[in-house]
Amino acid sequence: MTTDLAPVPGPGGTPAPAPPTRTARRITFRLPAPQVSGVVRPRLLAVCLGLAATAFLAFAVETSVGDIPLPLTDVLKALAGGGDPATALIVHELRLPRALAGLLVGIAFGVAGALLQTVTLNPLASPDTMGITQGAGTAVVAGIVLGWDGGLGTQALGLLGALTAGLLVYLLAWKRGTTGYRIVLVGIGVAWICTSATDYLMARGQRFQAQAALGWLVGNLNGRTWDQIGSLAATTAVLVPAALLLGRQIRTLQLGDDVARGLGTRVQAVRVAVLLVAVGLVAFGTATAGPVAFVALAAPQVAQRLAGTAFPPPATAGLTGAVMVLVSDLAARKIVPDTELPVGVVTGVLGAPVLLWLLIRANRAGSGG
Amino acid sequence: MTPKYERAPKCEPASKNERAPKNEPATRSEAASRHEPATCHEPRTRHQPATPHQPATLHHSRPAVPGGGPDLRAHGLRLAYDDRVVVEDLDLVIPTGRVTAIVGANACGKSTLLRALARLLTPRAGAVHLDGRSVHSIPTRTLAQKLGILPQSPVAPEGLTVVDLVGRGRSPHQTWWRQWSQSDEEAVHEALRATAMTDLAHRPVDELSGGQRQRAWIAMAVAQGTPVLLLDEPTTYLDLAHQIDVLDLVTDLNRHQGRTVVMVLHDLNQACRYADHVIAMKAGRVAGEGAPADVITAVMVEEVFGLRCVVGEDPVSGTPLVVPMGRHHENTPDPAAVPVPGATTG
Repeated sequence: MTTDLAPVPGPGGTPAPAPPTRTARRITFRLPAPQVSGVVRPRLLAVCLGLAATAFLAFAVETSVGDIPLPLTDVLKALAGGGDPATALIVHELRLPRALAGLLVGIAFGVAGALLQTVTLNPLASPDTMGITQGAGTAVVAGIVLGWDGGLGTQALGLLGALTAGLLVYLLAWKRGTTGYRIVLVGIGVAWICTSATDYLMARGQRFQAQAALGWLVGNLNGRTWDQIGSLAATTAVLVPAALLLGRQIRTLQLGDDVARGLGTRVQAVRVAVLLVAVGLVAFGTATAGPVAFVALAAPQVAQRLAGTAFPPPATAGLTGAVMVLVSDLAARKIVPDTELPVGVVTGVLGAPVLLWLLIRANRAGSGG
Repeated sequence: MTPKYERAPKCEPASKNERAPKNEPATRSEAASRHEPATCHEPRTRHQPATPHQPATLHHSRPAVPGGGPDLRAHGLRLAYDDRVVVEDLDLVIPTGRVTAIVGANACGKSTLLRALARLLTPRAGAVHLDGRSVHSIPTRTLAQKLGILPQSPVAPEGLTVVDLVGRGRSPHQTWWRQWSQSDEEAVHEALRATAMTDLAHRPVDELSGGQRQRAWIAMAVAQGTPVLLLDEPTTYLDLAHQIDVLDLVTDLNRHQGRTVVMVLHDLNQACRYADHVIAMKAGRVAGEGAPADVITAVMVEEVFGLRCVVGEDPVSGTPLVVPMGRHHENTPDPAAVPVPGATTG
């Protein structure tokens, strides 16, 4: 094709305007030898670094507080592999699993929420509104009330429930392919079915069973141990990079299915892959900490507004989720003296105002969310 | 002004009597100003006796783009949604390096046909071929480097800037390690310039006016850099000035960049003026195709649209001008009083 473009007059016969001057929003890098190139958005990068620093700080503080308060410097030494043996033991055996659980669950929920919201083109999409966490809830409550754990722990049941619900939503939404709004609507339907089933089981169960079930349904990080972390850590290590690699394909999906296909994206394959990754992250996250409310819904929206992008950026959303869960867990342990509230109670209380503030600010700026 | 259908016989004496397929884009009064070689002399040497719907004859008649351009054609196409067959046994050849307009009444299958040409819809029977290969067997990414499609009234996500939207058009050329090459940058820059969107590059698409928004989307399709561009009703929801603006832009893309353009249009007069080749569809079949002057006649409009009309001459471009009658104006104006091809002598 010829590329010698004649200057094309604009509307009204005015000559083509000068090149853009506002180029500060992106920095391009290109390597000559291996042909690697990309675009870095300074604001996105700064937000990510800020969130990572905040998450690390919250992580360190999370390991320092407890029955035996430890100075932050000692904790950092122990985390680096040094420090005195007693501190190291407390940090490694007692505190670290909980803090790691918070970090990983936050990342998993944040990334999964960003993926779901992007692929359905709907900011209301999240595992909470799409039946995935409800599916996990029903399975776990059934295990507690009916004693059907079949040798599986709560974690495995939660995993099974989330995966089943996710699969069910996808199969029911399938009609010559799936579209974003069908997935959300079917998800809402599945969510209500699961909620009703959970309520029925709770009503049938003994009071102590209902209490145990409720404790899990709220979502908390109390008393996590290393063996509960392993599977989540492995899942996150595999699925988060997968989510970031899918990010390039997702960018064309945001323009609608027809445009995306026209741009060479295999729409259904990408959508299946994205949903599998998201459901996997949510399932393992829920299995570890229960359905921590609101994180998967709010973290992507908060991240999107912090980074100033048109869609929730997955990595930023993951870091936002980690900060939300860790800070909420700290607050949950500190708000009421001598009582450790479950983290799920606090995430909504802390997260909602942040989201509302960002929405109000965006509306004032004239680019309403 | 010399009407094209008066000059056309000089180049192509047989054209008046031949109905579809009117393989050759008619020599237009502007042909002399085209960047490509004028086609006036060509029909004589390469025109073969045409029988309706034997697109194969076209194969030998596409010298418009030097070195041979993309060859897009369909044969035996059957398109359906569920049990509803929309297009049946359709053969089609898109003239290379030309602007083709598909016209027809609502629900005649023209958008469906365009979607099939762009492999967005899988045919029940038959196939669409690009350069001899079925578009459904070409990897979608490879195809996206050759053929671009702009669906009808696409929606950009809130807050997405023009330059980001146009940059998305480069995705068939990008890999995860090569996300923004020099050629990506140049293509986006050129696309913004060609569509006069450079000044608006950093504005969110949803804040633009309808005409600017449509130009932004066309810029995305332009940045994709495909030799073939399919546009589904690119003028929908635009006021008249912006419709002309978009169609002028399409002409620029065709003339200056040599792109083959296929677009679905509702307005027959615009189709006549801006297309070299018109395909009129009725109930999923090709009712007529060829140069606008040969296809758009009062008889054809009545047959395809069920609309009685008078076809005169566009005083600006000399192309056919369709003036509908309607129930209340059947007898006025007197058809004899309207300039009719042949009646006027320029």
